[in-house]
Amino acid sequence: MKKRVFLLLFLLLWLFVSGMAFAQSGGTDPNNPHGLTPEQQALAKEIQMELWCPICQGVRLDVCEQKVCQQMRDMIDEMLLEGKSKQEIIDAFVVQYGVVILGEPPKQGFHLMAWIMPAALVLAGLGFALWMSRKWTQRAQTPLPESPTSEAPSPGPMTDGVEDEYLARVEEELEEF
Amino acid sequence: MSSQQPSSPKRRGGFTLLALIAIVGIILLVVFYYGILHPPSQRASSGQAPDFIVTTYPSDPLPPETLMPALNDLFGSHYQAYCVDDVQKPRPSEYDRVTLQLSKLRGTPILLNFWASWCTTCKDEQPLLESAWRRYKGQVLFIGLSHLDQDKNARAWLQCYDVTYPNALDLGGKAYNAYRVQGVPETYFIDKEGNIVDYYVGAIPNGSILDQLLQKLLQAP
Repeated sequence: MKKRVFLLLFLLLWLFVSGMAFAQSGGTDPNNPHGLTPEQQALAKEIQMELWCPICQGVRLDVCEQKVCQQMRDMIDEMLLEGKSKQEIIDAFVVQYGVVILGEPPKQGFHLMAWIMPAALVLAGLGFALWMSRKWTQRAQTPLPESPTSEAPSPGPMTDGVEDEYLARVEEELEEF
Repeated sequence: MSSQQPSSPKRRGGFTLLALIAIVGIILLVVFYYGILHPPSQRASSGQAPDFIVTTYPSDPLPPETLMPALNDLFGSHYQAYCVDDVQKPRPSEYDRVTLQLSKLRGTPILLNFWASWCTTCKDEQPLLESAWRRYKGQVLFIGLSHLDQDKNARAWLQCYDVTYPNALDLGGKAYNAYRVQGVPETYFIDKEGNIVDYYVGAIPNGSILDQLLQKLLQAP
């Protein structure tokens, strides 16, 4: 009996506390203060995940706890309720807050350089490596010129064809310089 | 020796490539040293103040159904502790939707304040600025630029403190970036020739410091 009364009291207290909390929040769901539909909520989350906190370092809008982020999330909800599309909302944010909220440079104008340059540099590096490797391969395959030293071989282990080959290459390198 | 021979096209190609690599290397070095000597975080602290063009906020108050939730959101349910008694009082229409361009304001010393409605320390500074504006009006023009802000929040803020000097949204953070501001609030003191005389990082803590800065601005040649 005592247990039941205790349980009833606990239930009443829980109802009272949660009722107070609900009233304090203005009768709205704290996770959905603007009363968005599930589709709008999903779209709001999608937009939040594409935008970044403008005053933090590498913090996405959906997980940012700054006041400015809360205001931005409210603005997204309000614009969705006005019937704006995802792109319209993102464009409006870029105009009002600047490109910093995209977390990446926009793919237009001078900012395009940031996208092109790394790829261009990698391609240029690959091209250079390819060019160099072909040059080295060609040189290795080119028949070696007759070396004057090969006509008068000196005695000892250094007089074989291997030495001639290296000497010829050294001469060729010296010529190039 | 072979040094007398004319250079082959292959060798010329090699030299061209080396020259290109050297030029790219030199350009990268120049950019690197320019970056070191001119770090992007270095704020505009002297010389000619960067120009900006803004349109001031409307002076008519927001409708109560927008104003009250915005005040609640910015200041909490005890917003009366921060705000003037009549938060719905229209602000002076003198600066209603006016286009302000700094370069066209030569001849007037200017106090330029960067602020935001989401900024906590701005709450302490705002009453000081408004009070100083009422004392220095006619000698110094105060301009407030709200950074990363939204119309309803900024206007609710201005209603709350009954701000009567011109305020505008710094659209896209253009002025903020031009001055290389590092956070709000930040205040610049610009003489009548358009030169930065001084600046204050963070909220100006009290009226006497603000007075000193304003006197220095007025005494600037």
